[in-house]
Amino acid sequence: MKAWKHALVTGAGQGIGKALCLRLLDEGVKVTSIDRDSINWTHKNKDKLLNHIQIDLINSNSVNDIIQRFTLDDQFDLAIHNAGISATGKFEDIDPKAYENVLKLNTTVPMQLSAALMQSGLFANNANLAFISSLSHATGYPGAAVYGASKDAIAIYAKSIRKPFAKKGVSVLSVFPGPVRTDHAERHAPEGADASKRMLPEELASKILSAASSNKKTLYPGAAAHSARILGKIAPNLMTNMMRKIIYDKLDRPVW
Amino acid sequence: MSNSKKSLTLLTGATSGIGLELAKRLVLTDDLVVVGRKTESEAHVLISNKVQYIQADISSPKQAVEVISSALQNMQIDKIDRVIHCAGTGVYTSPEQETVEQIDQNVSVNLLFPVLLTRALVPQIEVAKGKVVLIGSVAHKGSSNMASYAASKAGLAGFARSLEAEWRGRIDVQVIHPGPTLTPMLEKAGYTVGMERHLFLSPQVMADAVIKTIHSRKKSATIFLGAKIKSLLFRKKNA
Repeated sequence: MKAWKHALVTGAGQGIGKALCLRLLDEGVKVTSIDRDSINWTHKNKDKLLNHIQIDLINSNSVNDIIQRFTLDDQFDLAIHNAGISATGKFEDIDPKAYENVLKLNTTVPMQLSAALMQSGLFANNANLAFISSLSHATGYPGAAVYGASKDAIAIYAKSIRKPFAKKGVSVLSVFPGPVRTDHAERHAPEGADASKRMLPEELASKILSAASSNKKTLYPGAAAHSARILGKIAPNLMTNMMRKIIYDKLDRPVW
Repeated sequence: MSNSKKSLTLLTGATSGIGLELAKRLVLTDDLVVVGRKTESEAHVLISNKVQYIQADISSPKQAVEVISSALQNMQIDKIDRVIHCAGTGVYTSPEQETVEQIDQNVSVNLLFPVLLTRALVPQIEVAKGKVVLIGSVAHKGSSNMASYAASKAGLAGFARSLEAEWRGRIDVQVIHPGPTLTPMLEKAGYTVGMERHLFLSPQVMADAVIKTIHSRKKSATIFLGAKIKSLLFRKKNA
């Protein structure tokens, strides 16, 4: 793993964000974590290396709030936009407010934070910036149309800024994970769904950090993600139809 | 309205650019209700008085949807055959120059607003077995000088893809990606057109092609070179 000095991780309270933080703390990296909740996990380096900012990114002024807390001495050489939420169910069954929140947290905030970090000179030279999109970018996502849209949007943002950010010394990585074994995924999955097929957050965190270390542009973690990506390219309609069968037709309740 | 045999179309972004040209054409064939930011009297200078007008400020999507819903109720419109989401905004600049506010506006206007409006109108569209048309952009595949705009349009394309699969057999969903078009949005976005203007389509040619596409069964279409070549070969006087 690259010897990062200061990392920023959003959505650090649980799931993938927690796994990312633990791994970085293992390696002695100073971490600024962001979450709407306080951090309730522990690590031997937590007191020494972790600086937690408890803030709800959905609030309209959150990005400015965060940026104002840092000076040029705090420059980041790793930033991972991990915070995200979903809204699953039939499109017409979900509360419109949930759509607002999904687009805000998954799409608007990571774009704003990336642009603001760059404007404020808060990226160190030779830094890495990672966006967590979704495997649904390759397949469509009937049963979570707006969540899918939010992840398509962030994937294309990452692609759009890759060259201009590279010129300024920041390497951009897009991650397209399939299902991960987190509490979040559990909450949205239909009842009786097999959790054992989902990737462990620790495994995904390792893959993300290793891909960022080698300045990779994209990461489709795991064999299933790879094949879904390829099939999505060759037969996009077939894949979207398959997603309808395995997800939409099995929806038992809306969740947001 | 209820006695009319014409289709009822609701169009957003109808007071400028491609939307304005769509409005001028659709008023000839459909019962047309349009949404725009301009005042009603300003709008009627541009488009026929036969068009029913709803003034709504879509920079606040939630409030705009409330305004539109209650206006439709007042007009006693309970069936909508077609919703065409054409309203859009964008800024032409490098990604590190985009401000927090501009990014928020691009997502709000180009993506959240169509999502919320579609969500609010499901009953009216469903009863008509209607169609939702989303106007995207060729930038949906990525653009380094319109990064958050490109992202919002990619989101719109993704939304269309998933919703089409959800609603198949109930409500049609279509996304149309216009190529570069000479509209007032370019200037508003801070883009200066140079020699490449010859590659751009006029809003009139674009609107003709969009309407043809709306009448097709395509789920997704990009309008650019084909329409440009046709416009050069078969020049109309207004093209």
